[in-house]
Amino acid sequence: MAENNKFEVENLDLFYGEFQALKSITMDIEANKVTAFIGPSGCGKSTFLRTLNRMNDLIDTVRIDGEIKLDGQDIYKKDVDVTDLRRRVGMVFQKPNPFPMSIYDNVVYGPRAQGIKDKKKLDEIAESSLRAAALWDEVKDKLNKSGLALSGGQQQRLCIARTIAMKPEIILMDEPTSALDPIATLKVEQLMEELKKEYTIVIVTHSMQQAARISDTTAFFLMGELIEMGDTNDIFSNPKKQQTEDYITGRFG
Amino acid sequence: MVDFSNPRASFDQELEHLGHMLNELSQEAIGAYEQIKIALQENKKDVALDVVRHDDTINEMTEEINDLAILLIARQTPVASDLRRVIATLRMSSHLERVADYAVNLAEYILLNEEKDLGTYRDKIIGMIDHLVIMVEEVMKSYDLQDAKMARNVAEMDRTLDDMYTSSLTELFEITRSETTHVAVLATQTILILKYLERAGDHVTNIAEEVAYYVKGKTYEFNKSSVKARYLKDNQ
Repeated sequence: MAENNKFEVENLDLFYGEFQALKSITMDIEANKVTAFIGPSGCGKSTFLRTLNRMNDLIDTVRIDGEIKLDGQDIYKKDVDVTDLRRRVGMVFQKPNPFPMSIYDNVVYGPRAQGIKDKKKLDEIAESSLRAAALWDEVKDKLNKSGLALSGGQQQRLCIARTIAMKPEIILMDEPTSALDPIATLKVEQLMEELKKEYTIVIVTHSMQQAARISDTTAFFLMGELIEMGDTNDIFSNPKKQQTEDYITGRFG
Repeated sequence: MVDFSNPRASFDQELEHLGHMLNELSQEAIGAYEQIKIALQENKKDVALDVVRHDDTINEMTEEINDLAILLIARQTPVASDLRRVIATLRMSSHLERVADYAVNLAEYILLNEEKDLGTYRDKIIGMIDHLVIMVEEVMKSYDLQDAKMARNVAEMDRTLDDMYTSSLTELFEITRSETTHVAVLATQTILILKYLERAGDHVTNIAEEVAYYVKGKTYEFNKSSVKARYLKDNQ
């Protein structure tokens, strides 16, 4: 295993019943980098993202072949504790989805579910997670207010704080800013820059400019195939494959 | 009916328009050299004056290309070959403007001197102008056809201009040592004229490099002058 790889995916196929949604995907995802998945709707990028913490297990008709290794260990092996896997590989969704409870309770929800009861410990987790999500200064005086009372951008950062509270190693983000206004979007992007020092970030985005702005590595998917993956600077200045060029220049007919 | 087969159709039109503007600019530069030729061959100072006067128009055209390129970047956020095309076109326009500037330098010389002053060098200068014009035409063709190899060939053509320049230097330097001040001044001016044309050729080579960058996505340096090449060879 190359030292810097967090995930190593080899020949991954995924079927929804008869339909093959992912075709022989092979890629490495580097630690402490932002990796962006781009591609048109239905290309398989979100499906692939969800294979990284086995979210697709929840769908009955899904069948997966191939291998995904996290730190060298196959995450699809029978004895893998999926709950622990999802703790290590956290996820932030397109629409901010705070629980209908206080800001504080939102953040410590996971640690509490894991059995942490000590108030001091929970306070520490709440503060450090909210700080890491760059939300602390905005909410420190209203931790008991409902998470739903926050703005959309704040709600999304609250969800990021909730993910961080579980001390994950990887954060998966599925179009985390598509429901946010431009300023809230830029704040989340700034946050990602900061978070990648501690975590590995994988993001699905429909905004090519976002991928170009924030990611270190970009992977382009088309009809279930990984067409091209490489340094973001190269992908956006001189992609190797014509299909990538056609997509990112907007000439996808 | 909206045609969805090319979602970037209007951007493509603007890119094409940018290309047209660059072609027009190249035609203006070529036109300036054609006029210089007439002025030299027929000893017409009024034609040389036209070249000087027309320089403002060329500068304005360059500015218009600059403005459109900036707008395209701001509004269309081009990437990959689109971005390279905009950037290359922008840089090519400033090289073309410089090529045209040298025509103005030539025109100014013609205005200040007599036809006979150039002596036998007149035909050599006309030969260099003919060669330069062909280079500009060819490099623009390579841009339109997106042909990097063709661009590379244009850069090769620059060697001829370099040779035409350097081959005259020994004799002209000799003349500058003449005891007659007037003769020495004329020889110096002739060196400058040859140098302008040689430099114009360098700018066409730079344009060829831009074409190759736009097409290939890599930076090329075609323009290794023979002096530099010799230096590099001697100091390996």
